[in-house]
Amino acid sequence: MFEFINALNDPNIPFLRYALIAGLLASLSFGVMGTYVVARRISYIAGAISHSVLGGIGAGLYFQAKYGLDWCHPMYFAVVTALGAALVIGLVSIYARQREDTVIGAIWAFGMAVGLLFIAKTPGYINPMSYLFGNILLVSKTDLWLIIGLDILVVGLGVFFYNKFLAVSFDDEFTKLRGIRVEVYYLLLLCLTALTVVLMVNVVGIIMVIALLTLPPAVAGYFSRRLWQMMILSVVFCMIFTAAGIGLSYSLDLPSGPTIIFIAGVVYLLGAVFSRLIKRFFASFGTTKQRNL
Amino acid sequence: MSDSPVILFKNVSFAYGTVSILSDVDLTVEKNELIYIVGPNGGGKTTLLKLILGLIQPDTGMVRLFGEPPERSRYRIGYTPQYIHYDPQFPVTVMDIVLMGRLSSHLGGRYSKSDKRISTEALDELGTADLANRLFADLSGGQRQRVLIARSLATKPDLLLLDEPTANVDARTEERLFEVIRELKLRMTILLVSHDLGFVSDMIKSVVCVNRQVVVHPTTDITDESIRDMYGKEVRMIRHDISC
Repeated sequence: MFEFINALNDPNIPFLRYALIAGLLASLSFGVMGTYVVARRISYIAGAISHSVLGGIGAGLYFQAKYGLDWCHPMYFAVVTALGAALVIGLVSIYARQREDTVIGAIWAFGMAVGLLFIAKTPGYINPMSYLFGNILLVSKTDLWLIIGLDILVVGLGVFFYNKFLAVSFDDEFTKLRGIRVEVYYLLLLCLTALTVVLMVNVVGIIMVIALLTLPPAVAGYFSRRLWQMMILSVVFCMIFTAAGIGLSYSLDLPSGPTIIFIAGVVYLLGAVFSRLIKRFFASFGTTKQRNL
Repeated sequence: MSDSPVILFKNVSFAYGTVSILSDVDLTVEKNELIYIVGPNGGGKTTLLKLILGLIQPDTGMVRLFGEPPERSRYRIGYTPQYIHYDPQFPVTVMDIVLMGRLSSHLGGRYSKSDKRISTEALDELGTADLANRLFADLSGGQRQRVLIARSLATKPDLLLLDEPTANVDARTEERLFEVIRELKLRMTILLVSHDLGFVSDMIKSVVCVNRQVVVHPTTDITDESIRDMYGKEVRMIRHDISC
């Protein structure tokens, strides 16, 4: 533990500090949007968006290396691809409901295929593993600014439209009849989810990012009576999982992404077991009390 | 504008594919009426409601709500569905749900004080004020039904549309519900949908029978025979306090 804190202050390994700051900052968006994703039950859509992001990253890497275009930062391409995927899936699910799952699957795999093709043709050696499973060495100072900017945008809109997103997620027919343009809010929800997914691509990778989006709210759900309580707890859990994961991965010399997800998964499973036991305990307590009356 | 009837159907027909659901429907509902819509399952009651709400368009004919196409004026309807498909794990309290009735005047941020006051009043009117902080998933069927009605009252509607409010509700709750409706009918138009004719009471002026065709009966005209016609078979009828 001390070793990790010392390492954070070590000027020779700034990436560890950047990764931790990136993880803690991104946790804000993850807690807020992850709660909506879990409540609205669209985690498979978030999965498709995050996987398709590889297409953007691949294109960015390719143009950067091949034509020396420095502004072609893979993260910018990732943002654009994620938004594009969100809009396509959203429009298809609004206007052609029965084909939704096919389109989600197609975008999921197609984005990855495009990304891997670009990476294969990019001059020099690039290990796709870094993008698939995360690599904190990739987190740079520029990324931190990007994360701060997107964080403000996502959390700002996510909190401002809280009541609308809550209503759309809970009962979209009634919301529509109140004159709210539910389609617009659904697309906005998907776009904000897309931006959120991009924030942690370098820390946990595109394949596992979906777990960090859904597991903290799933754990928070055991203790929450309101959606906003679930959000606050999700932010806290997401911060704990990322910080503990990065710390543990440094101390034990493990890859950071899988360590973070492993911790989140273990806590979720323990939560599932204990919450059932607790409920059963209260249920049996309730019946004995009734019997005594 | 204020003279136009609340609901106006002119020669309205609707079919799903080749299956005709409603044909040649004419219907006029005036302000502050209490209308009871009955008919067998599959007779087209839900289709009639969807047409009023502007969720579907008629194949032929015209639907007007407060003199306008329903999409434009449906915000004036307080709609209470029979049940809602909801996720029992969705963390949401009764108050959260009733506040959804205030959405149309709400841009973003927190609900205003007056939104909260109106929602509390709506809950109070249905005798459910004590449920405000309970989880929706923890309620009984009857309590949920009343919360959904409170939500539509919180919209401050000119037309209250209740779809099967007494299904899955015990007799005592049903009685209380009708007390509430008796109060409400003094200030708004009410449309009540049911598949049984259990309780055509003295406060209802006319009954709209939906079975592909739509026939309006004044309550005085309802006889065993007209009911048999409309259901196409013998039905057992239980009436409370018919005084006319």
